[in-house]
Amino acid sequence: MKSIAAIANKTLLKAMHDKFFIGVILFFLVVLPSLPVVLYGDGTTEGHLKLYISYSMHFVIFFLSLLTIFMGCASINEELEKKQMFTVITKPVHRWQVVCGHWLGVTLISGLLLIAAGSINYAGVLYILSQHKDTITEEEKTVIEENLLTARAVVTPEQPDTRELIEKELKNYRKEHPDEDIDYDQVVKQIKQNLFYSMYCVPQRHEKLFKFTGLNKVTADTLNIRFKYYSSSKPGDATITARWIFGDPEKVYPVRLLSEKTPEVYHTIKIPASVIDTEGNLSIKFINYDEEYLTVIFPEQNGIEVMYRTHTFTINFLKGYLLIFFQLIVLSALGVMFSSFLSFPVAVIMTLFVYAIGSQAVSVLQILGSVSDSSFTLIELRKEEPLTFFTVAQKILGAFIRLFPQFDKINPVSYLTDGRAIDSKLIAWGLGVLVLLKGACILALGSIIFQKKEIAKVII
Amino acid sequence: MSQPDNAVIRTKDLTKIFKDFWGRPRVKAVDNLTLEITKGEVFGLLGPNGSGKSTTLKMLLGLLFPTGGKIAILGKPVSNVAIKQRIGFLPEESYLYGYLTAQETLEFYGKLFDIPAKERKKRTDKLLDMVGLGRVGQRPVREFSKGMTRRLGLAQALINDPDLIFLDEPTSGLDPIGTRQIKDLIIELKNNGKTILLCSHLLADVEDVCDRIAILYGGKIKVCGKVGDLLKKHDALYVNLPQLKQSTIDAIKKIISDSENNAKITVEHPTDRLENFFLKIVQQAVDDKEETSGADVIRQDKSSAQSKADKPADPQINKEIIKKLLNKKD
Ligand SMILES: Nc1ncnc2c1ncn2[C@@H]1O[C@H](COP(=O)(O)OP(=O)(O)OP(=O)(O)O)[C@@H](O)[C@H]1O
Ligand SMILES: [Mg+2]
Repeated sequence: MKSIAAIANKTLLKAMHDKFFIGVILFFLVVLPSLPVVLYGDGTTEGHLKLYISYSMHFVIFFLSLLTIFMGCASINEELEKKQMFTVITKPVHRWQVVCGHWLGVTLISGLLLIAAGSINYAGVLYILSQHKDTITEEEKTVIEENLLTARAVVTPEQPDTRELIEKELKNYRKEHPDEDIDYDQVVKQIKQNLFYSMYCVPQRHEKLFKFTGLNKVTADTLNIRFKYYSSSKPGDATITARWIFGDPEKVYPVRLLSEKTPEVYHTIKIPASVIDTEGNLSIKFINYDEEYLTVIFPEQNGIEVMYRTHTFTINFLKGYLLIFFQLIVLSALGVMFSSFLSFPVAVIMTLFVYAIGSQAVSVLQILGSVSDSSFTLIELRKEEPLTFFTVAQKILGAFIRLFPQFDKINPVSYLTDGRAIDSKLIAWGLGVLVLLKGACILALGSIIFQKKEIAKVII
Repeated sequence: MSQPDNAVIRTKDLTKIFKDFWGRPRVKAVDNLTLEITKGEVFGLLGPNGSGKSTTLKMLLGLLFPTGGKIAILGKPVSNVAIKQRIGFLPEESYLYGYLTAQETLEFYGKLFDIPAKERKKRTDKLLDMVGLGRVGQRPVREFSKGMTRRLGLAQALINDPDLIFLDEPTSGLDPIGTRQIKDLIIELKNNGKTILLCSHLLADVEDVCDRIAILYGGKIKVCGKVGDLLKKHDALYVNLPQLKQSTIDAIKKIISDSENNAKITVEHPTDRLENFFLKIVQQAVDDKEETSGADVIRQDKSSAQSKADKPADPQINKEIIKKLLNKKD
């Protein structure tokens, strides 16, 4: 352990004596505090804050990621080129300890810089608030407190397994029409349509029940119900009248409301948390009460969600920075791993390549269809697909991308700009899968490569 | 490997072939080298530039992997990390960290040996004093002169009080006093029972400190044995005397020439002797048209200046000069 610490410590000393590095850090530490002044947004406090948080965090993530990559990629190979490794390897040090030492050193520097950046970033938020102190209205203040400077958990209603439903319907259809030559696609299309209609469409005087579960841990007094719907035709008075019943009347004292809201935009209704029953369930009944003959259509996803405050913005902010740190940990492991057998420029290119793919991994996997998606339009039935070259290639590509660290999954920016809580599951995933599994694998790979390396050989 | 206690270093048919990018053999740097170095010995590895000395050392230390053959260091394979606890190494150049101070450098290496903090501090100070860097301990190494770096490199090699020490040209870049000090140090280490493997071009130094030497040419051992045995000339006598007055020398000369029937007498410093021997061995290899991937130490043409015959270290040396130097009768 001592040798790992010694090598890490040496990396720190090296950085402190590197003029270029110090210059870059100074630049960073000058630009970051100036962001709250430079970025102004639309002039409102909320706009200013949102723009600042989003921009400065993107900047911090990008800048520190690059810096970490550069530091990692200039670690082992530099000592090999300068042959300083000769005197290290001939000491009682395992090669994996050398790899880990360099990784730890780079990670420590990144971590320290991240702490500095986070502090400046947080001070920037406070600074912006103080700037607007005199002009801000009470209303604006509550909006910010409830939507931005908070950490809200978001719960979406229970969704039946639509794929299963479709398959069941199809089976029924086959049973009922055993002799017919089924036009497979046509029938599925019809079933999908019916199902969609029954699940998401609410005609006049009809009702729809949304069920939310797992709300046992709500400590907040109020819940925000956020929803958006569409209308089958444009309502004459621009709004749709609806009745809401929050809570199962058999279990809790429900809250009844009448709303007149425009379609196609998000609205929020605030209700007391007492409508949640003792098992943590909440049912919300929506009744289309409009005078006009039109159908309300909820979008498939995010049509309605329950939001409640779980912790403060500060804690969420800290969690966000912890997620960034996870990313830096993995990037420094990648850089050091590549530096164990590649020259600096090549190692940088390789690490950037992994970084780029990792930053898009979730979206790419979604496009490849290997992530289950409850969206109707994307559902394909589990029929025996013939293995074509394309599907095989798709599977291989999907598996390949799964090997990459999925950095976009732990990107905290949208959480903080939307006031959404970063839940512990995500932190646990980041720590478990990204850091402890993939990070460790990367370091192990680096150690194995370095073990096979002839130290005194000229690096190509 | 029957007596691991006695043989500190043992190699068998050690071979290193450097390959090019495509894996084609390019340079045979070490060729079937079989060597045994026993405990408490100071062993000198000599040879012209590129004869494979450093490559041999690097293989013994695990910095290069042999193409063939076997190595046992302190009775264990090179890959054994634990034996490094008892090894010290000074590479051909002291590749140190420019951004660390001399003190931090030794601290760093001390930590790699897991030496406790107190002990580390003590040894650091002691070693810095010993190599004459006591007063510049706080200065960054990048400001050091070549000799100062060399001294720090040596201190680094001794931080763990090693039993087996590899020194690759320890005196290169050192001033005469430093050279002297290092020689004294080597002898002192030897007296403390340490084993030392040493590469050097300064034959005088090698002759002073080494018990045994091997001369490499083209990666092969040309000759190996006790310095005294190798250099013993049975047709001549060697009298070791302090510096004498010229009149005394003349008197001695006279006595000898009178009583020994005009015997030929030369008065010279003992340092010249290994030099001659070394040149003879290398010349032999050149004459035999042996292959080497190293530098051409001895030019094959005879046209170059002969007037510099009294300067054996001159790279322009040629066969004639060597013959003169060796007093060959033919
Ligand atoms: N990393 C390497 N790659 C390719 N060839 C090498 C490498 N290291 C050494 N050589 C070759 O191996 C041969 C022996 O080199 P080595 O450094 O062992 O010589 P040496 O005896 O230490 O010479 P010197 O007296 O100059 O230090 C030389 O021909 C050299 O070019
Ligand atoms: Mg050498």
